[in-house]
Formats: sequence, structure tokens, C-alpha cells
Amino acid sequence: MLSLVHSNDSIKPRSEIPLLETSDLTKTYSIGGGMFYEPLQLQAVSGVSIRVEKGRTLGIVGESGCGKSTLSRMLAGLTPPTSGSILLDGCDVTGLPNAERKRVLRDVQMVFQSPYSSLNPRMRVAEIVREPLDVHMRSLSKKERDERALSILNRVGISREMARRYPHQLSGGQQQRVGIARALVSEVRLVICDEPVSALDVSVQAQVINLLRELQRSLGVAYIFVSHDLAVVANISDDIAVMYLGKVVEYGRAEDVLQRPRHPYTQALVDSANIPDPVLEKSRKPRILTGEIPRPTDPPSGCRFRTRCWMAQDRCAVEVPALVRRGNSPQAVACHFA
Amino acid sequence: MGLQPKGATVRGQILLGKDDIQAMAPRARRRLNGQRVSLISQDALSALNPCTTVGYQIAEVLMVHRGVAKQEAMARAVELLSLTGIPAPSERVNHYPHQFSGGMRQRALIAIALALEPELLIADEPTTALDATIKAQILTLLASLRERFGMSILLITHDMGAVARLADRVLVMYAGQAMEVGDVASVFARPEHPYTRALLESMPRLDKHGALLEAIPGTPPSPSEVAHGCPFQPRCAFAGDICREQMPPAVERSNGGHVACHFALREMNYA
Ligand SMILES: Nc1ncnc2c1ncn2[C@@H]1O[C@H](COP(=O)(O)OP(=O)(O)O)[C@@H](O)[C@H]1O
Ligand code: SF4
Ligand SMILES: [Mg+2]
Repeated sequence: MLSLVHSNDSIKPRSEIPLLETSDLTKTYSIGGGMFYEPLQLQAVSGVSIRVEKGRTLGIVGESGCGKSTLSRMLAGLTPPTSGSILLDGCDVTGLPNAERKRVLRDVQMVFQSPYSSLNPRMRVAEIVREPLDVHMRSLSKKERDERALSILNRVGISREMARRYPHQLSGGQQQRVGIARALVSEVRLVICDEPVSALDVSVQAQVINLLRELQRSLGVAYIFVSHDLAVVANISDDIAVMYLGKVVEYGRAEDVLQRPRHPYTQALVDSANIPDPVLEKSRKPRILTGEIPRPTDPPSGCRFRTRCWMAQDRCAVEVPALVRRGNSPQAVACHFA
Repeated sequence: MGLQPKGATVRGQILLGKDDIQAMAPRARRRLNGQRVSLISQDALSALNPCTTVGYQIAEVLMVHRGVAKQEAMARAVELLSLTGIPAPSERVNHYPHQFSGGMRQRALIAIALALEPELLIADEPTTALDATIKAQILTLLASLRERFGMSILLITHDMGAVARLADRVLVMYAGQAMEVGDVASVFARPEHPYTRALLESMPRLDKHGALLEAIPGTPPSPSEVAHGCPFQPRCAFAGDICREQMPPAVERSNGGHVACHFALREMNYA
């Protein structure tokens, strides 16, 4: 077996057991099918191995349908993986009995793209944020739980007065703040943010990004930050994993991946991000990919990117490139020729 | 503020751009529409007729407006699909919209819009619903078609990066009001309106990854809120009393164009 990212020479010094680590995580959906048809197999996430260090941020970027949400939901314990393992503090949670797994995964919370639909419309903001404590922290008195909810709400910029309102009485940005407060109210160590700013007005996105960064600094919580927007991921992440059709194609420290992308897909993704600098934008010649993302029910053989790759050779159609590091390169790349 | 058609850009309350055209008398509008001005919208799927082939929808424009015979119009449809970068256009011409991917539909919509060789192409959020690599394809396509047809593009978008890539001039709008207009290089390098500046500072950018963003406080006003003074005043770091009371008049920018702000950020603020 080739050395994968999470083996000895990992991205960051292996001082301790990572907070979260996955190995060959895979999710296959069966879609359609009936009495006369075989269902189609759709590998939404295929052999993903990532690790998240305490108090750090792993960004996951890729275009729609590449499996980001499926991966997020597996890591948060909301979707069972088809195969592979998820290790929290070195302990495999996929093998645990249900009740035990739920208890362990309490440390992992999720923030969703659509703030409104993830908040109970019939509850007041303060109750929404207090709810996880009502369930998991019965040892605290009601007053203590209330105080704790109001205190985290205050930290995310929601006043006591706003805490009495219902979600629909808040703006999109404020709703997302409530979603973040709810995720952080119990003693959480990892928050999985799935497109947390994508639904917000451009003028509000920076508020939420800055808030997440500030909370990380003060609470020491780790993030998995998922977005289709490379510039947003670049702003908040320490490490970045780039996904294409269910697979991680490049994985490394953010500055390496962004400044010296090695996988052709990452290179195209970096090139496709427009910078608000008209002189620079008009002078550069971005690498433009031809074609579109193939159907995930029928992915290309060998390298899944090969139908759009300008470097593809015969070998790419037969052999699946493993995510490995070559030479002194700090980042792992899944390409035969990168 | 005059709106310059050549590669100009509107952002913010995008409906205004459309309203201008819709405010015309129906007959004048119909004549304008498609003949000299074409519109491509963000939602390509609902803009296309699901019941006819993509090729026929292109050909139909030529048959109705130019009286071109069907066979010739269909041949032109194939050419237009090819021009917009659709592979195997002579097969694709007989396909229905649902057989096209999102990026392909956007290209088909561009092909329809180009059928009459308009002087002005209005592109309303043409890349908003698209993935990053497809968005890059469409922006590049629009730039090359602009050269080829010698037409102007009015790009309506919230994407400052797309503006930087495509536009020559930019009109920045907030809550339905024009805030700043001018040469895009000058406006982006030396924004004189606090909103333009705040928007640029708050954007995460790849060339400055990891930098703390300067967030704009507050939220955009809802369309029903009527502001007396400057609509940006509640969120503006430079606002004074006058901003609450009076809508600022448009004044000239130092490097050409106009800015509507009582405290426009002049050259010296950048020293
Ligand atoms: N519950 C499901 N059943 C069947 N297919 C699914 C389901 N959820 C996601 N998929 C498919 O899995 C792929 C990955 O989806 P998703 O994880 O939502 O991607 P992303 O979040 O990157 O856009 C897509 O092709 C999607 O259609
Ligand atoms: S393995 Fe081949 S097809 Fe895949 S990215 Fe590398 S060169 Fe391209
Ligand atoms: Mg998703």
C-alpha cells in the first residue's frame, strides 16, 4: 500500500493523536431500481482519508455534487458510511454501538447552509440554543442552562432582546449566528460548517467568517469548513482538501495548495477564482477546463478527472491515481503526472 | 449618472436594470427586445421552453424576426451552438433543454440571445448558478463573443471578481440607488464611495488568503424600507448627520465617473 496522507509523514507534525481522522471513508447510494431494474450505484464519497487537528481548520472545497455534504454528514454522525472508519481521538466511532456513538459524537456539531430551515420556527432563539443543553446537560439547573445559552448568544452578537424573537424575525446573517451559537453551546470540539455563508448576502458573509475565526481563537474549537467557494475556504483554513467526484485529489497546507497547486484540477480551480483586481484579471490567462463534471453514477475509469484533464495519458484511463506525496512536496496529490 | 453600455456593470438591486426596459411601451419594448438588445438570465432552465428542441428555439428567433426560412435558420442554429462552445452542435441542435447540463443551458441561452446579433447583451447574473470551472468557461466565452460580434455587454452581478474580469466600466448599486460609477480599474483601485470600498475590503480573495476581512456591519435594507438620506448610512463607517437627512447628490470622481456620497473618499484618504 502506498503511503497515504494520514500515515507517518502527515501534513502537520504528528505530536499527538488528531482530533478526527478518517480512513478510506466511502458512501455509496443505491438510486432508482425496481422490480425490473438494477439500482444505480452512486459513490458520493470514495475512499476519503483526512485528519483534523485540535483547534485547527480543515477546508474542503469542490464543485457541487462532489460529495462535500455527504462527507460532512458522515463525520457528524448523521449518515452512516458504507465503509471506512472515522476515528475521534483515535477511537473508531463507526464500530461503536448506537448509543455510545451518539454520546461520543456529541463533541461534533454541524452548522448548515440554510440557517432558517435548520432552526425550529416555533421556538424562540434562546430556546433553540438552549435545547442541546436540555437534552445532554441535565445536571445543570434550568437557570444555568439559560445563562449559558444567553452567554454564547451574546458572544455571537445576538442580544438578549433578539434572543426572545423567533427565527423568522431575524435576518439571514443573524439566523446563521444562532445556528453557530447552537453548535457551540455544549462542550463541542469540532464544528462541521457545510457552506455556512453561501446563502448569505455578500455584504454579510465576512461578518460570519470573521465570527467563526474569532470563536476559534477564543474557544479553541476545530472546524471542518466546507464550501464550493475557494476564496472563502482559503480565508479560514489551515489545511485544504480539494474534492472531485467523491475523491480527494489534493490535500495539504492551505498556502501550499493555493500558491503551488499541483493537481490539474486544483490548478484550474485556483485559476477560475476571479480576484477583484481589474488589471490583474484582464492580464492573466486562466486555464479553462473543457467539458463538465461527468455523471457520478457513471464516473470515468481510472482517474475520475481524466475527461477534463489536459495532461491525461492512456495510463489515466486504467489506473486510479492514489493520493500520495512525492519527493519533498508538502502536499499529497492524486495524479499520475503531477 | 449616465449608464455606459460598453461593458458596463450594474450590481446591487438588479431588478432596476430590468425595470428600465420593462417600463417602455410594450410595442417599443418588443422591437427593442432581441433586435438590438438581448437578455440572458440566471435561470437558464426556466428561460428555455422545455417542449421544443434547443435548435428550434434558436431558429425560431430568426424565422420570426428576420423571416429566415426554417432550413437556413436551423443551419444557423448549429453555427450558433458551435460558437458558444457546445460540442457536437449538429446533434445537440435536436436535443431538449432537459438533456443539457446547467452550463450547456447557459450556452444555449447565449446562442439564442446572439441569433439577431444584438448591439447590447444584458447578462443578468449569468454565472451565479454555475460551478467555479463552468463559470470561468462562461466568462471567457462572453469576452470572446464580445470581441467577435463587436457588441456591448451589460453584466448584472454581485460577483466583484467577474466584474474585474469582464467589465470596462462599473456602476455600483445599493438598495436600488446608484452609489458610484466609473472606469472599473479606477473604481476598484480607488473606490470613492464607502460602500464600494467596504464591499471590496470584505471580500475574501485568493491573493490575500488568510487575511482578516473588514466586515460591513448590519444587513442590507429590505426593499420596503424607505430611507430618507443615503441608503448605506446605517452601515457606513464615514456617515455624519447629514447622511441621515439628505440623499447625497452625484458628484464627479477624481478619476472620472461619479460618486453619490456626502463624504466621498477623495484621493487624499488614500495617502
Ligand atoms: N440521499 C441521497 N441519495 C442519493 N444520492 C445522493 C444523496 N445525497 C447525495 N447524493 C448524491 O451524491 C453526490 C454528492 O452529493 P453531495 O454530498 O450533496 O455533494 P456536494 O455537497 O458537494 O454538492 C451527488 O451526486 C448527489 O446527487
Ligand atoms: S492522473 Fe491523469 S487524468 Fe488524472 S489528473 Fe493526473 S494526468 Fe490528469
Ligand atoms: Mg453540499
